[in-house]
Amino acid sequence: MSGRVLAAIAALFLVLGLVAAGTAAAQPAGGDAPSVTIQATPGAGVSTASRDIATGSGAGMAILFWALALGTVGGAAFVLTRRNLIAAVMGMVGTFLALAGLYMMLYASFLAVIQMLVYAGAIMVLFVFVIMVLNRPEDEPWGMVGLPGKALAGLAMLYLLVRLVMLVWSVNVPDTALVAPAAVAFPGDAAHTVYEFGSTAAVGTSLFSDYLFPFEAISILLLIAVVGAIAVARPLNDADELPGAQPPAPTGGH
Amino acid sequence: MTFVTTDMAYIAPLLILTVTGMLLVIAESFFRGRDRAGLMGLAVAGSVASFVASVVLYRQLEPGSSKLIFDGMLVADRFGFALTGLFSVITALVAMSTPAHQREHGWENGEYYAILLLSAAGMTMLAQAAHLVAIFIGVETMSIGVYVMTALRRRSRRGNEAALKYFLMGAFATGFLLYGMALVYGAAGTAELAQMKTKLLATANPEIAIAGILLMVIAFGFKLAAVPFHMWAPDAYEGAPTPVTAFMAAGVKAAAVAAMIRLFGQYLGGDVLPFGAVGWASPMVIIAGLTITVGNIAAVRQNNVKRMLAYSSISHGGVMLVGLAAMGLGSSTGQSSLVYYLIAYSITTIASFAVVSWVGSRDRERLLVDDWAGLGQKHPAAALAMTVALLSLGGLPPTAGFFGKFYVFKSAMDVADNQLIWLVAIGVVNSAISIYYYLRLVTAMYFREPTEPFTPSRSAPLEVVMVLCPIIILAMGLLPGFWLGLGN
Repeated sequence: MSGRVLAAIAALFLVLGLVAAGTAAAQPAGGDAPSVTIQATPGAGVSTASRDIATGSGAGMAILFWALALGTVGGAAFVLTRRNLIAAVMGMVGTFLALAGLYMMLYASFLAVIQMLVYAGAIMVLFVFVIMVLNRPEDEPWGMVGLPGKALAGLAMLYLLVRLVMLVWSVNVPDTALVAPAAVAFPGDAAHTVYEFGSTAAVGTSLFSDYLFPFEAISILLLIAVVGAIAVARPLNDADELPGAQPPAPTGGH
Repeated sequence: MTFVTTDMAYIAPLLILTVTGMLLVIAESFFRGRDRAGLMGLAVAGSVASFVASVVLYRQLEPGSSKLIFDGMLVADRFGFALTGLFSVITALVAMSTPAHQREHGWENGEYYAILLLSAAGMTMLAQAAHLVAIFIGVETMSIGVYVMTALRRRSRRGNEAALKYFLMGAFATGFLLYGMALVYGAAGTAELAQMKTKLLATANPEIAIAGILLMVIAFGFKLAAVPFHMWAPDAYEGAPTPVTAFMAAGVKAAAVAAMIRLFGQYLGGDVLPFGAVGWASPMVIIAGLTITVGNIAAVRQNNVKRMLAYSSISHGGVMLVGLAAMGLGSSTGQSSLVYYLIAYSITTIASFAVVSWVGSRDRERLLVDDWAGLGQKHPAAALAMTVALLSLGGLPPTAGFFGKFYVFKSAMDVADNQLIWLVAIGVVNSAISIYYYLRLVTAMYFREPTEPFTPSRSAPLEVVMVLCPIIILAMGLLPGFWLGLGN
C-alpha cells in the first residue's frame, strides 16, 4: 500500500511541477518581475512560443492541458480505487492541484490560487482531520454488495458518462473563443498589463469597490456563526447554568 | 466605484448594533455566573443608541427622498430608518424581557445578547438593502442568530426539536432564496434592485425571471411562515425560549416583510408589473388568502397559549402579504399602512409574549389557557396588559391592531379595478373569527376562578416591557396619524 501512496505522491509532485511551470510561463504579466507584455493578438515581434502561451494554443499548451487533464482524472480515479482513506484524500489533492493548473490556463489566476489555498489546503486538512478523528479501519465497508447493486451502479455511471461525453461533444468551440481575454492596463500603473476577467486584480477591484459592503458585512455573518456554534456546541456546564426544566431544583432566592 | 466616507453615517444603526454585539462577546467573559444584568444593560444601551441614530437619520432625510449608498448596495430613506428604529426597539424590549426567563428556566448563556444584537444588525441590513447580495447577507445574518437563540435552551428537548426544525427549514429557504436570486440575476443581468425592473422588462428570458421570482416568494414565505410554508412555525415558536419567540414573531417577520416591501413593493411593483400579475402578485395574493385563513382556523383549536399566538402570528403574516400585494399593485397608501401594521404587530406581539414569560415560572410554565384562569383577580395589571395585547391582535378599537388592519385593508381596497376586494373580505371574516380565540383567553383570565396560586417570574425590566408596550399600543390606536406618517 505504501508503495502506491509513494507513487501517488510522486505523480502529485509531477503535476505540481507542471502546474508551476505552466503558471510561471502563462502569467508573465501577473508577476512582479518586469517581464514583457504580451499582446493577446498574435502580432509582430512576439515569438511563437510566447504567443502560444498568451493565446492558450499551440503544441506546448496542448501538452500541458492534457497533462493537467490526466492529473485531474487520474487523481479522481485514484480516489475511487483506494480503500485507504488517507491515500484517497491524497489523490483528491492531486485532482485539485491539476484543476488549479487548468484554471490557470484559462487565465483565472485568482480562482486557481483560491482552488489551491481553499480546496487543496483548508478543505483537505479538514478531510484528513475528520478521517483521523473517526479513526476508521483501512477496510471501509462497501455499500451495495452483490451483482445487482454493482450492475445498477455501473449502468448509472455509464449513463452519466455517455451524457457528459455527448454534452462535451455537442459544444462547438470556435477558434476565436480560445484567445486570451482582452488585456487592460493596470489602474495607475501603465507598465503592467493584466488580463481583465478573473484576474486577481479584477477580482480585488470588484471586491473592494463595488462589493465592499457585502465583503465587510459577511464578517458579521461569520462572527454570529462562530459565536453561535460555540454557544450551541460547547459542553453543558452545571456550574455555569442552572438545571433546566427537568429537575426542578430551586437554588438561591430570587 | 469609490468609497464615500459619508456613506458610513447612513449605516450608523447597523454599525452601532454590530459594535455592541462584538463588545458583548468580549464582555461575556467578565460577567460570569449569575450577574448577567450588566450584559442586558449593555445590550439595551446599544439598541437604544441604534434607535436614536435611526431617529436622527430619519429626521435628516427629506420625506420621499432616497439615496443609494455603497455603490447601490444599500439605500438610505425614511422607510428604512423607520424600520431600523423599529428593529432597535424590538431588540431592546426582547433583551429586557430575557433575564427573568433565563433565570427561571436555566439557560443563562451570556452569548445570547451578542447574538441578539448581531442578528438585529442583520435586520437593519434588510431594512436598507437595495441589492440582492445585501438582502441575502441580511437574511442569513438574521436567521443564523435566531436559529442559535432557539437552540440555547439546551436541556429542553422541545427546545432542541424546535431549533432543529427551524434550522432545517431555514436552510431550505436559503436554498430557495439563493437559487431564485441567481435566476433573477441571470435574467436581469443586474442584482441591483433599482435597475431590476427595467432590465426585467427587457429581458430575453422571461421564464427564468418568473421562476426566480417565484423561488424568492417561496423563500420569503418560509421566513414569514406563510401558508403552505408555515409548518415549522408552531413547533419553533413553542419550543424556543419565550423572549426568543417574541423576537422571532416580531423581529424576523417584520424584517422579512421589510425586505419584501423593498423587493416586491418598491422595486418590482407599481403600475407596470414585470410579466403582468404572473410575476409575483398572483401567487402572493393566493398565499395571503391561505395564510390568513389557515392560521386562524388552526389557532382556534389551540389550548397552548404559545401555539395559539404562533398560529395567530401566521395569520397576521397573511395580512402583511395583503398589504404587500396592495402596494405592489399600485396602492399609494400601501407602504405607510404596512409600516404602521408592522410597528403595531411587533409591539403587540412582544407585549403578549412578555406576559406569557412573566406568568410562567420555573416549576410551572403555564402555557395552557386553563392555567391562566383567574389571572385577572390575582394580578390585574398583568391581565390588563395581556388583554390590551390580545385586543390589539384581534383588531378591536381603540388599539393599534384595529387601525393596522383597517389601513392595510383600506390600501387593498384602493387597488384599481377592485382586484383585491375578495382578499379584504377574507381578511375581515377571519378577523371576526380570531376574536373568538383571543377572547377565550381574556374570559379565562377574568371570569374563571384560579385553580392554583400564580408564581410569576418577577423582574423589573420585564415589568417595564409589560407597561411600556400596552402604552404604545394604545397611543398608536388613539393617535394613529403620527405613526401612519412614518412609512413615507
